[in-house]
Amino acid sequence: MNDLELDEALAGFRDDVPEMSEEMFLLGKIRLEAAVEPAIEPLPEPEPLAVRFEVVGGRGQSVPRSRRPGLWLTAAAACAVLAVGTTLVVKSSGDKGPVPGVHQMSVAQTPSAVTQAPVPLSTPRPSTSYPAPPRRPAAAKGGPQSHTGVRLPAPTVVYNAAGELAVNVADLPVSPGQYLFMARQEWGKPIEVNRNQQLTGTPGLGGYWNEWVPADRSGVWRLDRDVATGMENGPIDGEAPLSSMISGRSRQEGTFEAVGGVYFPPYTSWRNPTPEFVAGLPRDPKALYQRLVNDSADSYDPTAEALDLVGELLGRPLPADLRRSLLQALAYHPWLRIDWNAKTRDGRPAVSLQIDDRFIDHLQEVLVDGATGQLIGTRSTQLYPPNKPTDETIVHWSVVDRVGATS
Amino acid sequence: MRTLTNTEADGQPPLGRDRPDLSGPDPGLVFEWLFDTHAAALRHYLVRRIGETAADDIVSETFLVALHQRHRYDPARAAVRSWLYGIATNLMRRHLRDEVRHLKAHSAETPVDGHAGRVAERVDAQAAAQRLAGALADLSPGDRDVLLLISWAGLDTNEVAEALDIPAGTVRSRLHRVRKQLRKGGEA
Repeated sequence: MNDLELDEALAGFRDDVPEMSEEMFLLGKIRLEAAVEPAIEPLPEPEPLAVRFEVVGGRGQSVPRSRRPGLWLTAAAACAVLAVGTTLVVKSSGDKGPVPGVHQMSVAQTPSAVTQAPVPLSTPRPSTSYPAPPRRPAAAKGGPQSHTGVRLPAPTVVYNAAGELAVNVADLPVSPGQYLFMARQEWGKPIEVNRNQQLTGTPGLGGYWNEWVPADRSGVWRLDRDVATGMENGPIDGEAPLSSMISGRSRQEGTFEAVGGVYFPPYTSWRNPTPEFVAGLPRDPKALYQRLVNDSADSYDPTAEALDLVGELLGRPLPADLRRSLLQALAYHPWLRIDWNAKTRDGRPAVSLQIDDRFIDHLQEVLVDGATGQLIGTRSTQLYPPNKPTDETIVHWSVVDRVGATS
Repeated sequence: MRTLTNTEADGQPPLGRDRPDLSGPDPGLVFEWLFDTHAAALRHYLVRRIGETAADDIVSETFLVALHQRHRYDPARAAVRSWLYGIATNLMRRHLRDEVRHLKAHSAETPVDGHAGRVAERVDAQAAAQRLAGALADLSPGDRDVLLLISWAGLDTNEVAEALDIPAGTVRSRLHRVRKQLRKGGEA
């Protein structure tokens, strides 16, 4: 394929995008208007709103590109319509039930799985043990490097009690022949498939990541992965299969097996760690925090990115010494907050390590089981109306007797 | 009525329409203009990447984030379009799974019925599109951002550098490497 053919392929790929509907255009403006001037006065009577809504066009109508000040509603009316519009447009992530193949037994519900009696950590406590300095800004806007927020400060003093979660961290006892089993369910926003310019449904509500780790971590790990549980999997024509693929579906989904869990080479990072990456991370909490300072530096909000990186890594089957160090390292984070009475999406008690991502205005949460120090979920929630989670996961850990078993 | 781009009357230096002053006391008007000017194109780009539902939400979120952070925008250093696409790209980082799902959805499409002569042509085109979907799904998120901001959003390399906050030279080298990778994949 030459450059011209590539340009043509890219230009034609998914170019059958319907115009933004008048309804969606107006709703976006209403949300913006409501944010500019939040309504303080009582809302007007509903009758004018009904009239206003009747002028909104249906889907598929093209949107004039010129300014339309007539559609710029008053703040009070905008908020009222927003309340209606939200119910029309924002879809529930729904499907809170179990995903086939994912068992629901949690480690916390399996006392025998923990090697020693955990230290109770359920009592609320101050989230900060040392006064934090004023928070450093997220990314400034503008030219080169200006989108990068100010780096986190070097580790100096312990600012919060995240390190206390490390007290109970231990590896689950996995005997030879057994497997550590991690089951993660994922919820994002539902997608719609556009085929031949017709909407055909909302097939995917989320995915799952089921992983089996042998007692000897240098052995062969297995991953069963589905990124869209509502859709049938199928191979991508012409896609060269990965050597780790054993189920013959696609590189994104299916069953994979690989030594040390390296299913998707060649990338290695906090988000796709290889055994070498894990082994190379310092176990000294201060040094590990400094590594976080360095590796989060090129992001929009390094302050939030550092927690995000820890959450990504804790979402893999890490050895206990590294999990312990990660939690202790977060104690040097000046702006980390801790909610000792949080819950996961499936209602389990959790300790929420959280921070506001000030670049995207989302609350980022890493949810940890206080009894085991294991990650049991993550959540990303809008910090503006409608203040809903936009991405959420739950994680269960257990020990099973054979690869592929879920209980 | 106060215009959005002519600020001479306020004693401020004139700014082009691509670099408006967002720090004024009345952001409503300028953000209405921003939405009118950029929302549809931004949505078109996002729909191609992550599908309609998520794209509609991110378009809305992008302008809300921009509104909240308008005081940090420096018109002397970046065009407002680059800034908006940078925000949207960062928001989309939370929807990487959506993008992979959407690529998968494309790869799973089947040809529609039609005249026999055209069906074979469509099958060939669809196979090529499926290969491209697989290749795009295999790119790292950062590489995919560079490629598609240029190819689909129409930004140039300097604008991509502004949007992603990386040096323009890095954009060019990434683009070269990614295109080489895709050209090679297209021959598979």
